[in-house]
Amino acid sequence: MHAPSHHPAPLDSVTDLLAAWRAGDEAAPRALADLVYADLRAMASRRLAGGGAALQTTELAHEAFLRLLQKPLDAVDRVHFFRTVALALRQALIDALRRDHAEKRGSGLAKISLGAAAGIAVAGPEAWFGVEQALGELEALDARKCRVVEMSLLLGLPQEEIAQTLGISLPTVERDLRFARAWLRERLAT
Amino acid sequence: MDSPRFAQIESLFHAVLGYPPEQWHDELTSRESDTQIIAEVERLLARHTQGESFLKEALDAVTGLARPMQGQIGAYRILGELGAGGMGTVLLAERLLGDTPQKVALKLIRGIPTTGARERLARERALLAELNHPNIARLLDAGETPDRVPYLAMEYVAGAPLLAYCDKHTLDLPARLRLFVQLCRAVQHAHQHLIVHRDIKPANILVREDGTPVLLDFGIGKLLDPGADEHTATQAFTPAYAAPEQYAGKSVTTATDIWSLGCVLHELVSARALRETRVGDRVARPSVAAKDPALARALRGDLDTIVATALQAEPVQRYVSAQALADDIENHLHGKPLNAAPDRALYRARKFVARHRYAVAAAALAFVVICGLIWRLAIERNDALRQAQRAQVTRDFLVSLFRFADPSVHHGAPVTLHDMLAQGSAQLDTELAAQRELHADLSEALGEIYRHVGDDRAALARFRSAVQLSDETTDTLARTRRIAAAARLALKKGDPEQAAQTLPEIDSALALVEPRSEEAARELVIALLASRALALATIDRAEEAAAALHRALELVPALANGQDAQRANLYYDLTKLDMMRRDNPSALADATAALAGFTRAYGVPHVETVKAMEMREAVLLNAGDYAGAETQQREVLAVQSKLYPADSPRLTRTEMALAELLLVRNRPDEAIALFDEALAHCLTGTESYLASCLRIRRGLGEAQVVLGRPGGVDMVQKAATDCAPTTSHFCLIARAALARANCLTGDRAAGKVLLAEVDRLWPAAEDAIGALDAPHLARIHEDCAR
Repeated sequence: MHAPSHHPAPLDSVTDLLAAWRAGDEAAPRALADLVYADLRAMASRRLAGGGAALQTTELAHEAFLRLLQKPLDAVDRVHFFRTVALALRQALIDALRRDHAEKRGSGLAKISLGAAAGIAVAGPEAWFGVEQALGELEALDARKCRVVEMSLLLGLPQEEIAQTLGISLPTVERDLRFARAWLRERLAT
Repeated sequence: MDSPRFAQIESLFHAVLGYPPEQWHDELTSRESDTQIIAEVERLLARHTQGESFLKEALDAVTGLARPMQGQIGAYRILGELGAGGMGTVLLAERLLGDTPQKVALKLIRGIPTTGARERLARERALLAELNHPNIARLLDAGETPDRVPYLAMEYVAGAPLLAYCDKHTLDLPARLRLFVQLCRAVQHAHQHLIVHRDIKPANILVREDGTPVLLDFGIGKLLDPGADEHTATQAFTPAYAAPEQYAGKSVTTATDIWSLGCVLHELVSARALRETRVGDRVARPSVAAKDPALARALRGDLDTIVATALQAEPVQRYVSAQALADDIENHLHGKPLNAAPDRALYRARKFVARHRYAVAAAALAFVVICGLIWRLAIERNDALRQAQRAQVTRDFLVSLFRFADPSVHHGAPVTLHDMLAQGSAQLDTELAAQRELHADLSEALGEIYRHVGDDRAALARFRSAVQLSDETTDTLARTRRIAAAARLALKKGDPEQAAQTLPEIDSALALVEPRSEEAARELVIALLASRALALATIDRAEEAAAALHRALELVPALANGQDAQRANLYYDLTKLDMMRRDNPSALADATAALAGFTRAYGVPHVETVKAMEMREAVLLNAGDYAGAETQQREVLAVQSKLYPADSPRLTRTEMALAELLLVRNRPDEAIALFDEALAHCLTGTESYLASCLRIRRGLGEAQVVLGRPGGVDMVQKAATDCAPTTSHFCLIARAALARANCLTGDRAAGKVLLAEVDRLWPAAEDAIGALDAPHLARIHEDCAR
């Protein structure tokens, strides 16, 4: 029942880091992001070891919550943690893209496919570079909208949960999403 | 675009969105005069109508970059993937040992990160291994992959999923029901072993070619649920087949499986999933769901009732067991009346819930507590008679907890788990005062629950009370286990006073358990010795602490499988103690052993292994073996770059530390390359950590000074003025670097004055001295003395 191992597993530190973050420790968010990122990478590579299944961000996020959180979080920590996981996922996607890009460039296969009708790069994974850039711009203009998009798209949270986590009403989440999507689409087309 | 303009555009966007598109332009011009803004809003409105799948498409395209890999896990060769879901990946694998390769389903489990969870996994695994039923897929083996992912090897069942099988063989209704009865019997068997499936669904049921149905993944849901032991339901369930209590995050019991069986039955007989056909909270009726009129007629009556009874919203209103469900199906097959009379059940359900809304919720919570306690008692006692008697008392105690949840007692306010635990604690101390051993048992169990829900203080109080209630007549292992649990929590805070108080308790427990020879006793001794070492180290008695760890090490078999991590942890602690005692040779030997152990246990690219490498590097620095330290530090850097992204602060710190070491080793060229790298990451990092950037600049400037490059002096000068506090070793080194610049550029006199000032302030420096600070200063002295 009481195993002799008296070392806390490294992942136990998530709650500690969140607490430190709340207490104003400037290094905490970065350390937390490191931890989540390393964990996401490990999970992704484990998925790949299984053979073939595509990496689903919402599933990875769900798994990250299960793995990293031993206790329910309070509201402030939830916002922080979701934010961290979303950032880590965005980072992971960009890294995967860069790697892929570098490999293709090496083999002379680089190509960017453009969706003719809307003028949006739809077919190739490179389209995500544009999305990432647009998300960055959206964040500068209206950070909350960026959070809402991240939670909905990357983390796969239902709208009710987004509303609850961010402390805003459900209609506000719907409006934010509606506008942010139109804005992102317009941004990607131009 | 700026934010106010963005907000204005958004507000216009929403204001006119409700109008038909042809009115958009007019509505906009009536609200806004700026034509650019109007044009922008119109573009966005047009985009809005184009749908929203583009983001998802972009996401899917980028996530599609994932590529498959092949490999081997433990003694298993991967043949392919059987499936992947919320719980983990299932691989088809082949066991390599033996003459005839055996196919197994290898389930890689996610979500078992902590030591506590691993302990639970081991316990549950033992329980699952006892499930031996022809209709349940067996658990064959379990282990961990090299990167510490736990896996379960399950019997591989070659068969078709339940519904596909029934369709393929066009089974008629009675045949389907007979298949279902077999499943109920299997579930009943598991429930009798206190195992709840938690995720029964058609996809988890395979039918072999000979017609035998086999349930997969029994109890796996619980293995994956960090909260399963103490209270709420798991997130790992399948929505279409999950019971209301699973959605509500409440307790999961055998009744939860009854619900899921009801869903499966509904789909099996009506050929339609419950979820597709059910509207709101209306009672589920397969006869209404069925499309074929003849089938609907056959289902009306008994089968509607059976399904509805299994699918009662309130767990207590469902069939009391899977056996009861099977019995009613057999009653139907034999034309006998059902045990579940439709009206009575529904009537009772409505009335009961209306009367006892809060009591029902609290009772559900308490039920899990009960299961946990009874289960514990059941496995720990082999004296059957005493066990029965104790179980009776336990039940009485728990029934009194239910009474607490009764609204008439509690004035109708909701009852939380914490309320129940507090009430349980209080009641335990009054009502069970006469039953000492049981009182102690339940105290300990409550302590465990408190520890799992993170209330260390309450947990410690319960463990202490369990210790106090134990005496010579108590089972020695139970008694020492309680002492060890209390000690471990008491030491957690690192308070010397607590440590001094706890030490004699640990020693008395050790005296009790050391003469014993069982495996459990040995594990306890190791845990107690580790606690003893921690207590002694907390009160600065490093020598004795080291002795305790050495004793613990003797008890961990050096060559046994799976003990590497345990030994490595002990060596790691030992290294810290060696450093406290300034015993460099031992520290090096122990750090090396820790590193070797972690490497064997987890492989090289692993956080624990890197931690041990960093410790070993610190030891080498302390011992003045700079060449060795450099080699080790380079290895740390190589491994960290595999584990973390390129701009991770950990990598930056390692680069900086290695560069500083190279500076002291008089290799400024190489140092500059690393400082540059570190500085680039430090400056572009999304979070600023200015202190490190300053430190990197200090080193970079000094390295450039040594090489006589321009710009170095300014950088050093800035570091010396910007650093704080001014009397820290950090600042003093910056000033010494400035002195070095003076000495090297010909103004030796000014350099020496500065250096003398540094020497004067050095002994009084406020911060802890870094391992490289003294040799660094010595190196600067050499340059100025030349």
